[in-house]
Amino acid sequence: MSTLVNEAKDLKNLPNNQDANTPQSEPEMSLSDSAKVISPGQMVLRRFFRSKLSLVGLITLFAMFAFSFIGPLVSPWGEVQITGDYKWVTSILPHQIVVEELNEETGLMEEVTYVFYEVSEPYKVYAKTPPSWEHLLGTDQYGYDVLTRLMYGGRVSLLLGFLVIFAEVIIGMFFGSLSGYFGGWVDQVIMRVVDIFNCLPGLPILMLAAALIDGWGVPARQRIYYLLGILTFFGWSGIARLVRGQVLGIRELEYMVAAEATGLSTKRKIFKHIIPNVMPQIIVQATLGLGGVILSESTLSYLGIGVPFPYAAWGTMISSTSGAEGRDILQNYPNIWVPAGVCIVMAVLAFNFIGDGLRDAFDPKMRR
Amino acid sequence: MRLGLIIVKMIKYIVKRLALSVLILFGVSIIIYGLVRIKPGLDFVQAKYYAQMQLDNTGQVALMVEKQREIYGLTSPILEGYLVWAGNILQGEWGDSFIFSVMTGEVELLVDAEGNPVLDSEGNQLTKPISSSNVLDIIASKSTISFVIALIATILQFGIAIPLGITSATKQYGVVDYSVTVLAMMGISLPSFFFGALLLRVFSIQLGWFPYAGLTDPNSNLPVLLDNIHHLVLPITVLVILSIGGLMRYTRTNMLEVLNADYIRTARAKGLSEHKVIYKHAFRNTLIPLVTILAGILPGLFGGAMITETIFSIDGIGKAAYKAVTMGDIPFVMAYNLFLSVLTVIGTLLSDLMYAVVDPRVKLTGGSK
Repeated sequence: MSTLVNEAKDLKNLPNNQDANTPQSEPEMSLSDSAKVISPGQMVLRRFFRSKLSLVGLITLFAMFAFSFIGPLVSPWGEVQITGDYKWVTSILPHQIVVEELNEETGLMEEVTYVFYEVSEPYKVYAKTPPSWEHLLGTDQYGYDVLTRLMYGGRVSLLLGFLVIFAEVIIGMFFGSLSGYFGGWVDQVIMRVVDIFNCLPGLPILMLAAALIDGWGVPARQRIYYLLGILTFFGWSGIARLVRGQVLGIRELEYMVAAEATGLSTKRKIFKHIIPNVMPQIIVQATLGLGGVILSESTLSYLGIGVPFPYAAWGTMISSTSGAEGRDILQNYPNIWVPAGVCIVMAVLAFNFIGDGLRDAFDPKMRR
Repeated sequence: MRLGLIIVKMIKYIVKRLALSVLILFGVSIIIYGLVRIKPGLDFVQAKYYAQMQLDNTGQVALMVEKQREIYGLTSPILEGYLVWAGNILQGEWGDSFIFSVMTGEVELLVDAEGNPVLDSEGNQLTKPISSSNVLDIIASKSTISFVIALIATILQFGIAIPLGITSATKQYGVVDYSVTVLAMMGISLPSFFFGALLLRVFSIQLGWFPYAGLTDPNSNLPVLLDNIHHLVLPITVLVILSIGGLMRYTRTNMLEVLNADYIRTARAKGLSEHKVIYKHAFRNTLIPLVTILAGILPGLFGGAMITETIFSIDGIGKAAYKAVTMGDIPFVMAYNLFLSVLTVIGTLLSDLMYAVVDPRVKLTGGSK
C-alpha cells in the first residue's frame, strides 16, 4: 500500500519540477530510476486483487465455470439419463358399478353394487437413491444423477446470465449514449420509455411473459431463447439510465470540447471518446447485474416457467420441494435440493464480490 | 411573498409530475396489453374455455366466451382492442378473475320463480351472500394480510439495517464492517425460495419450533393473535433477511459520504463527542438519501411477496398472483401487474416530493430525477 502512495507522489512531482525550470534531464532520470510508471489498467488490477473478497469471488467463479463446463465431460452420467434404482409397481384402481338385477328369491328387480379392481401393467418407479460412490449426490425423483444435473444447470444459468447481460449492455449503451449525447427530444423520448420500464414490476411481469410463452407451445429447447429475450427486454433500462447519466457528465468535460474543436465525426466522438470512459461503470453494473439475472432465471425455473423439464436448472431442482412429493423431499432428501441452492448463492455472491471489488478498484477516490 | 412563490412552484411541479405519471402508466398499460395480445393462435379466453367449448353443444359456452372476449377487446384488432380494454380500466372495470371469488359482504334477497320473497320458518326473508370475482375486489380482500406482513417486515428491516449500516461505516474496514458486508451480500444473493425451504426444513420440520404452513392452526392452544404471530415468524424472517442487505449497504455508503464532509470535520474540531458527531450531525444527513427508498416500499407493502407467501401457504395477494399465473388466470395477472405499476408510480412521485421537502437544496424543476 505504501509503495503505491509513494509512486503516486513521485508522479505528481514530475510537472512541478518542470515548472521550476530545472534542467529537464536530471530529474527525469532519477524519477525513472525510483518510480515505476504503471498504466491505469494495471493500477485497477492491483487494487482489485488487493481486496480479499474480490479474489474469493474470482476463484469461486472460476471453480463454478470449471464445474459446469468441464464437469459434464468427466461425469459418467448424462443430463437426462435415467440411472437410479427402480422397482416395478402396479397400480390398482377400484371401480364401482351399480346394476339392476332380478333377485331370484323375491322375484323383484334390485340394485346391486359390484366393485372390481383394474390392475395396471407393471411400470417403473424410480427411487431417490441416497448419495453413494456411484452417485455422489444421489439421484432425484426421476432417476437423474443430481451432481450431473447441477453441472448442466450451472451451464444454463451462467451462459444465460452472460448472454442476457451482454444483450442488455449493447441495448442500454445504444439508447443511453444516444439519449445523453443528443439531449433534447431524443433524450425526452428515450428517458420516458426507460421510466416506463422502470415502473414495471420485476418478477410479476416476467412471470406473465413467461407464462404466456408457456402457452404458445414452444419446443423445450427453444424456450431458453425466449427466456433470454424476456429477461433482456425487461432488463435493459437500468443500464441505459446509467450510461445516459455518465454521458451527460462526460459531454461537458474539456477533452470533449477539444474533440469538438478538432472536428471529429459524431460517431468517432461517441465510440472513441465517450464509450471507453463509461466502460468502467458499465462493467461494474453488468457484473452486479449478472447475479440478478441468475436469480431471476432460477426463480422462473423454480416456478416452472423457466428452463423447461427435462433440462436441468438450479431453480427447478429446488422446486422439487414444493411438488407432490415436496414434503418428503424437503424432509428426507436434502441431497436433491440443498446443493442447487448452494450453487445459486455461490454464483450470485461471486458476481457481487467481483462487482464490488471492481467498483472500488475503478474509483479514483478510493484510497485503499 | 416568498412562501407564496414556493407554493406556486410546488404545485406546478406536482402537476407536471402527475402528467408524467399518467404518461408512464399509459406506456405500462400498452406493454401489459401488448404482451397478452402478441400470442399467436387462441387468445387467453378461448384457451381457458377450449375444453368446455368442445364438450358443449348448446352454444351457451360459445356465447359466454364471445362476451368475455368483447370485454377484453379480443374480437377487434390490437389497437382497437387496447382502446376497449383501457376504456374499461379507466371506468374501474378491471375484468373478472377466472379462478378467484370473494364474498363482498353484501347479500341478495332470495325470490322464488314468481318473484315472491322466500321466507324461513320464522318469517324472515332468506338471503344469499353475493360473491364477486372482480379483480379489484379480490386484490382488496387479499392484500390485507400481505400488508400486515410487509409492514412488520419493513419496520424490522429499517430498525436493524440502519443501525448496522451506521456502525459498519463508523468502523470502516473493521471486523464489524467486514462481517456486516458479507452478511448483507449473503442476504442479497439468497433466493427466497431456497432460504424459505431451508428455514422450513430446519425450524419447522427438524426442530418443530414453528408451524409448517398457513396462518392459523385449529389444534393450537394459543390465543388467535399469538398463533398468527407464531405462524408469521418464518415468513417475516425470510422477508427481512433478504431485503436487509441492500438497505444496510445503502446506509453505509451514505454514512461514509457524510462522514467525509467538511461540516463533520468542523464538528470534530469543535471538540464535540464522537457520539454527538455521529448521531446528531452525521445521522440526520444520512436520512436524506434514504427518502428515495420510499419509492420501492409502497409496492412492497401492498403488492405482497409471491414466492414467500407461496412457500409458507399464506393466503395473501402474492400467493394469489402466483396461482393465477400457473392456472392461466390472465385477467388477474394483468390487473396485478397494473396495480403494482400504479403503486410504483405513486411511490416514485412521493419519494421525489419528500426529497424536495427534506433537502432544501433540491430545486423543483420537473422532469425525471
